[in-house]
Amino acid sequence: MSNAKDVLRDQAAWGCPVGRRAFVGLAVAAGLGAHAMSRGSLSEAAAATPTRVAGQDPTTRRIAALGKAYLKLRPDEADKAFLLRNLPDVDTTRPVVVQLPALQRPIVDDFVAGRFVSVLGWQLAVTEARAAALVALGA
Amino acid sequence: MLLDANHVRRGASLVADVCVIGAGAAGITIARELDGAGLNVLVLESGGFNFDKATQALYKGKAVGLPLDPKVDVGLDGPRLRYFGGTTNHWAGYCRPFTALDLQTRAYVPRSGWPMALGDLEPYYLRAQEVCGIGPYEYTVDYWRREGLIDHPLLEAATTPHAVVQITDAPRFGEVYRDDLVASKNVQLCIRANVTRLALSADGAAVSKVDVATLSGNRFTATANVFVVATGGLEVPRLLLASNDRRPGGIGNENDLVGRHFMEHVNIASGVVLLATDFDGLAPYTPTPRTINHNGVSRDLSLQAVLLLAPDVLQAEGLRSCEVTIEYGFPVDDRRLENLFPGTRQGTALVRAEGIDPGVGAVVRVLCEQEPNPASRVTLTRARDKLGMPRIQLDWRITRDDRLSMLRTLRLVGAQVAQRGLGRLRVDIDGFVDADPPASDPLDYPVNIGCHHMGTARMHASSRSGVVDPDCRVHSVKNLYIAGSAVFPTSGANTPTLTIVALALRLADHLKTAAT
Repeated sequence: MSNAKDVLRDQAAWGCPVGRRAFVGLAVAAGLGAHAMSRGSLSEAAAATPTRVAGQDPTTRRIAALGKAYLKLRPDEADKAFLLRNLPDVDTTRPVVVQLPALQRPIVDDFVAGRFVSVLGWQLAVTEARAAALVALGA
Repeated sequence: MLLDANHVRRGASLVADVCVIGAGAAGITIARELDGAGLNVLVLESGGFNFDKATQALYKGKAVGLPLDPKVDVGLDGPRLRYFGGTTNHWAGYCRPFTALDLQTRAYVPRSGWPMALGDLEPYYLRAQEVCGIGPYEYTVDYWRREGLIDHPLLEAATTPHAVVQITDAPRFGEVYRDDLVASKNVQLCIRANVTRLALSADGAAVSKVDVATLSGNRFTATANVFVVATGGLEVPRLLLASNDRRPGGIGNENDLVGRHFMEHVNIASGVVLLATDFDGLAPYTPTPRTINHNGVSRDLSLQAVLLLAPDVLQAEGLRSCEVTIEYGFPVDDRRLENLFPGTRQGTALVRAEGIDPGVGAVVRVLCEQEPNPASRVTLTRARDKLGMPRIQLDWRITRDDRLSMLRTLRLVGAQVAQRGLGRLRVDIDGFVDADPPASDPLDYPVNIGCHHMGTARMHASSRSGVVDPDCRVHSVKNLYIAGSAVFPTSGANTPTLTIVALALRLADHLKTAAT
């Protein structure tokens, strides 16, 4: 299988013998390995990935990374009390991560109402972004 | 009838009623329509019946604005083909008409508005379906679901409107229609004939003849009552601007519009979407071969669903038109997906913790309209090709509003995906990670092209705002017409060929009527 660069080089040399849509497909499908290596602007995502924290499972760590990034966008919300006031369904005696399924209703309501936010590129409901922020704050 | 330009007597003058310059989708369509119409038609095509490097090299030019591809220099010759059949020789066959809103004047899209409504184009779209070898003029999910040819719970659950793209199984106009033109008694197809100049009459009101040259050194002219330039969105302005012996600014350029408003379809792989489905969930968005029976004829084509934004959303948000597909799925934990879109596991962890089990991580691709921008333009350079024609320079530009519109569109698509409980979208345009507010200014994320060249001889009722009138006639020249996507005032987010063919049919009807 030729890689994406070869395909694109052939296109330039021979007058685009493959349709553009097919190109995009080939570029995506064939360039997977090289693609990430060739990119220089992934630092934002990488920087937000926390170093391994003792006692945190991978799921919690990844959610905490999103929460940390949200708080970077909204430093005024870096306050457990504030977040809990805005997440009335969260039980302070239990880990937030295990309570996320119960937040589906307000999450969907957020999306319907246009209350969503872009966190590390993820389009998240404000409710889930705040829940992730609580995780980042150790809740 | 077939003629090789190398065999025409040097210095001769070929005579016709209608001279069509260029044999791509538009030129071939017009010539076929005029077959048997009582007019002598001469089609001048630069290439032969196969790809030829020397002829293709006549297309070479310089791109100085946005690169047409952020990773590879495809040049100005890469996206198009210069031989019989034109760029349909690498056309992927995707067909969808403009929407009604696309053609309207929209205050939030500067210089938008066609001098016709969708209803005016629909009779020609109906005929264009046949020319393009596709099915009925039907593009809704409802229709194709009733036919039992496209169906999926994803589409039933959709609150975002979908359209269905028809993909022809016979996209090469050169192969499909060559015999028709060669066998015609009143259409003379002259191959290897490069038009290097449109010569105006002494009073400058009409084109009197065209100069023709071959790469082997032959030269002759052609005269006709009517000339149609059907050479594509880059060569149309090149020929008009280079024909500047009587009008220094070039033909049709009294208001400095020729070559301006160049538009592409911005085509970007925009990020990853997690879908709470299996791979079959992507089926509607994957071109799927079908056999249909249309008007008693069995025909093979493919169908593909695409996501749109509803007209009221586009208007309320002031967004450009767009078309979204979801493609190339991977298991969400696939390392390749993480390589392609770092950060995938963060979203996966979140939605899993919320109780959604994402089965597929897929690439979201968006095709977007850009606003007609006078600074986005084709000009001539001092460099010349082998025939002495000035080469072109393309300064392709999109605006900050275009970029904002694309980001907003992606966010809305992400919200729709989430609202439907399907998963989450992460916007990552080749390393540009969307943030709230946007992390960089001027939002210089890389963009790709659709290989669609539009707008450089735009249509408008007023000569102050358009190169051609609603009949596609150059405002200032009584017998010169432009066919093809160069006349598009705006681009929509649909692939252009079906509309190119529809407008060509409309122009052919006009020429037939005018001749009687």
